[in-house]
Amino acid sequence: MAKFKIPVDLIMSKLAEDATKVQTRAQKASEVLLDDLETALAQTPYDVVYQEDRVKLKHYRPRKECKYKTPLLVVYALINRETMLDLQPGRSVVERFLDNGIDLYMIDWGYPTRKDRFLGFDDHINGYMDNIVDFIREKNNVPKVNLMGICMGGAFSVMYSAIYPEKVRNLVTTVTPTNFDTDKGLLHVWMKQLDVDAVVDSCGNLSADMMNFGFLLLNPARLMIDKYVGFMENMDNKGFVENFIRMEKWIFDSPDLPGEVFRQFIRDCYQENKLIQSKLKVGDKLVDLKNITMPLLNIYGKFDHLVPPEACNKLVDAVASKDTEDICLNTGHIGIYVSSKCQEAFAPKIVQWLKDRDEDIAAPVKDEEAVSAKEVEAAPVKEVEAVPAKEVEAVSAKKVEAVSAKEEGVLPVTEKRAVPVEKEVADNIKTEAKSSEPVISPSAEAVISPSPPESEKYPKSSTLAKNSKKN
Amino acid sequence: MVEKKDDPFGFESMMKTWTESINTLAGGMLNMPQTQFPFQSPFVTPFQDSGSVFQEGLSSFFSSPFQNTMQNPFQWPFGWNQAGTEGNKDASADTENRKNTTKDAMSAMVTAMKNWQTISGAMVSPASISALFKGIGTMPEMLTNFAQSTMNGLGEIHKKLMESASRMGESAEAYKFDNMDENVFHLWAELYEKEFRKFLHIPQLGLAREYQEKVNDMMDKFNQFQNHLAEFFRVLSLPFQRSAVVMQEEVHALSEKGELPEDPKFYYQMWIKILEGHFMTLFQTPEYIETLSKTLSSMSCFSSSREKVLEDMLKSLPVASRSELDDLAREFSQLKRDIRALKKKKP
Repeated sequence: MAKFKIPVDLIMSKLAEDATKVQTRAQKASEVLLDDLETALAQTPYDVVYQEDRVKLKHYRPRKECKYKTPLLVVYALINRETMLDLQPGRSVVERFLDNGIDLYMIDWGYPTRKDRFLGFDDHINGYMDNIVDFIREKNNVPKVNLMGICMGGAFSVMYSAIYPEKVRNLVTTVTPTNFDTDKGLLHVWMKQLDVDAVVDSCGNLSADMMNFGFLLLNPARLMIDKYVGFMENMDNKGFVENFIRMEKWIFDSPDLPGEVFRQFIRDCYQENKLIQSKLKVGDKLVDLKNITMPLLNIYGKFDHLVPPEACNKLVDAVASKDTEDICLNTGHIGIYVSSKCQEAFAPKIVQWLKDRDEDIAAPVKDEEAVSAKEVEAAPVKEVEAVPAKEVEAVSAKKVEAVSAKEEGVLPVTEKRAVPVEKEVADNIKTEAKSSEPVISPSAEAVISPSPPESEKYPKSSTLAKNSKKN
Repeated sequence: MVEKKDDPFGFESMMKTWTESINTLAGGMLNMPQTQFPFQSPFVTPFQDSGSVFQEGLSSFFSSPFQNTMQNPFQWPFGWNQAGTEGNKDASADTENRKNTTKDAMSAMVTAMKNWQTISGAMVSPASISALFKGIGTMPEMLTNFAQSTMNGLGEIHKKLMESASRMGESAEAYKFDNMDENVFHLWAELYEKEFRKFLHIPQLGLAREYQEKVNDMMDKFNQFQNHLAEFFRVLSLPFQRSAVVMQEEVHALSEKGELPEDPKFYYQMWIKILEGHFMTLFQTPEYIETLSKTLSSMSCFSSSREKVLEDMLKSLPVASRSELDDLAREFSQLKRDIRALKKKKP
């Protein structure tokens, strides 16, 4: 082996220099850690307006007069807690919705116990969700609600909309897995071989600790080592520490997953991929995606390591709705809700999209089709803004190819209805593309915080790829 | 009954009566014809003349339980307790009683000796001796087999471990996990399956066979789970091993170019990226997925098996077992579904 020289003396002197810095930092850190830290989650005020067993319905107190006739119901996943949407003041999807005059409801699934182990999709969708939707319809005196689903909650929302299309005005799915036949995400690969019956029969509910361990295993180098090294490097920064602790609280505040839900999710979805094929049954009802005729907005993250784009982007083609939109953000599974850049693109986009589809709500349900038809004829056809070349530069070549392929004909090209892109949203998109703020990469998902080192670790590229199926 | 406040448990009294009964017994032996008792107790003399009141009390300590024990060996603990209780009785019992107890003790000893004589007589026959030794030999033979299997297995594992140790580092090929050195784990799993597992599957007999079988099954499942878990952690450790080798190569390359940075953080960043890359590669290999799947399955099996054993234990306690509560929850869930369906049918 050839001899080579390592500048040990220089490295040692650098280490010594660092040791002094570490000492100073440790001193400051002790002050920070012993100080009063503001780490509370979900501080936006709300009222629990409905409760059934462990499941609660939160109604957020409006900050402004509600501008929209149709209330929005947010359905979070049964994994982790819905508090992620209201992590902290100033970085809260809930706040943004309220500031834009949305009448907001959110399901809190609570903490399932052993007695809930036999509750499956049927109980959650035909039971709790349907009861909640009926409650809101009655309370607000509206025939339909807007439904927004997140991750597994998105899958539930898709199922619900397919079973009860008459109760859903608009459907928004975010990071929602619907196509499970992909090997892009590790979960999809691992779950294929899982003996789910053995696990559920022996464990009952799937314990949160087991799930969390599984999630950490998705990227142990970052989530078990680098994340805490990052914390040590910034523990003298109070803001950083507060954000970090907040995120830690959210990550490990995990309810168990009801056994039968887990069994059905793994077997019917991950292993047999029934949802996208319209073969899934919820109770005695078939989930036929062709029943989804309401407008659909489908948003997902390009770097999502839990629900990769391939698991999300088949939905718009599978439904019968003629008003669909696919948006792929340059972020990961959690960053889509909490990164400050995505806050600019994500919540306002949804607000605008809902606003555009809220106007005809006053019309009786029976006349809906006629109204839509008239609107279709009257609406001017408007091209979706092309993604500027500069913005695309930073995106990987693979994604550009995928986007191009879609634009060239993978998606239906018949345009019957315009998809208005408001100037405000478009500006946000451009701002994001030009911004130097880092996008949270999948590997750093659990480190979500304005950590200075992130800008060094991860690419500064940021863009937003869009596809629309317009009618 | 004599009350002794300074001896609440009656130990002192018990010891006294015990000494007396020994004395009594020994006194009886001295007067016995040589044919019946071929020996003389050397410790008789000091007590012989004591002739105290203590001679009566706990003679029953030996006599009654002794008799009982000879007649029914399973009764001895109760007989012992009984004797202990009796020993606390008033030591100044009447002389008649003393004579009777001495007589009882003697008759118990005579019975015991006769039994011994019978057994010895039976053992004179060569066939009986052979049968006896054969029976005795069975257990050690089984134990020897077990020990032999264990030693052979351990020897084999040791040998493979040494081989693996000598190969350490050779198999560390960057970002490749298609040639994992799993010999030691496979060997141990194979050995367990072939050599040790069968001992846990020996058919159980009798009243407690069901329980014993479940305990053995739990032990078997536990061993399998431990095997798989160890293998799983071993696979998880591979990226660390390989990233260290890659790190060496990278540093070497940089050094040759004369581009070695002075900042230690650079080395950390480099290492964490390499490590992440190795993990990502590993996690998609069929070997890892199989190991993960086996570990989860064996954990579930062990958990089920353990629960069965615990449920058996809980049966004797006034608490509901998990399966009973699960049954209730299942029925409750079904009832709720039925009610929901009825409500929705309501006009």
